[in-house]
Amino acid sequence: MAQSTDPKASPEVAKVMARNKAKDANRKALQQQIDDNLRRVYEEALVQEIPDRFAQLLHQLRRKETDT
Amino acid sequence: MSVQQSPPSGHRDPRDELPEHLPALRAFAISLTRNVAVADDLVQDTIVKAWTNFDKFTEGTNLRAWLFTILRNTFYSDKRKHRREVPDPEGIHAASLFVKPAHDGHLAFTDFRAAFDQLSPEHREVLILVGASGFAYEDAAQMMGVAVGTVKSRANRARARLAELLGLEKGEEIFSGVDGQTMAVMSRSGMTAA
Repeated sequence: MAQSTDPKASPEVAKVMARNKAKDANRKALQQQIDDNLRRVYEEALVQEIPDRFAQLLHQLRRKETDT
Repeated sequence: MSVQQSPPSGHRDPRDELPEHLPALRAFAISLTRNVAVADDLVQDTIVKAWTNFDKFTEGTNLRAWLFTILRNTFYSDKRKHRREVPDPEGIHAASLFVKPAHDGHLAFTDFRAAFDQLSPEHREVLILVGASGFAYEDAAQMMGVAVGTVKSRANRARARLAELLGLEKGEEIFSGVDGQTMAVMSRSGMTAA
């Protein structure tokens, strides 16, 4: 397929470009996986039930405020 | 009810809004501390501090970001005060004999979580803020009290460290080879959480 005389299209350059492209794709895929997993770590904590102590605390804070 | 002064129309009283932010606040605390008991104490301190400082909150601005800021500042100041005590009842951080997972090109979640636990709190913080909880770099920068560029480079280093802990080959190279500008372009093109 050596139709072009453009040195950019030489097989070596094409190989390097293909390798860079593959590296880029790998990096993107890895980033995506890391971000997906980070969201999962966060979601895991997010879906947990909130302990009652916080409702009680807020209730106390409100009461204190109306008292003073 | 008669005691309650209603804010000018449009904005809700942050006191009423606070409970809605509790799950996110607690998830952030757990992400920072990796210990539910310590996280709950931190959330409690944050609520009390927020409550007594609501007069400093500008209504109409991001309440969640404001609460997150109080929480992380409290966390770091506690950490400075108790530098010598290392509370680790559940042995999370004692699990230092981390075994590199077999790598088949896909990250197993349990391996990922174990690696995440091993990161420094600063690295966990930046990754959770920009990677998982959906804050913009600008918001994260404001919360962390640093420049946007610092947030980006810290996030890159944190990702590289994660890759390294996960035993991914050339974990360093994967991210540190990318300069800030490329990274910024990548994140603009949707590589990070919205």
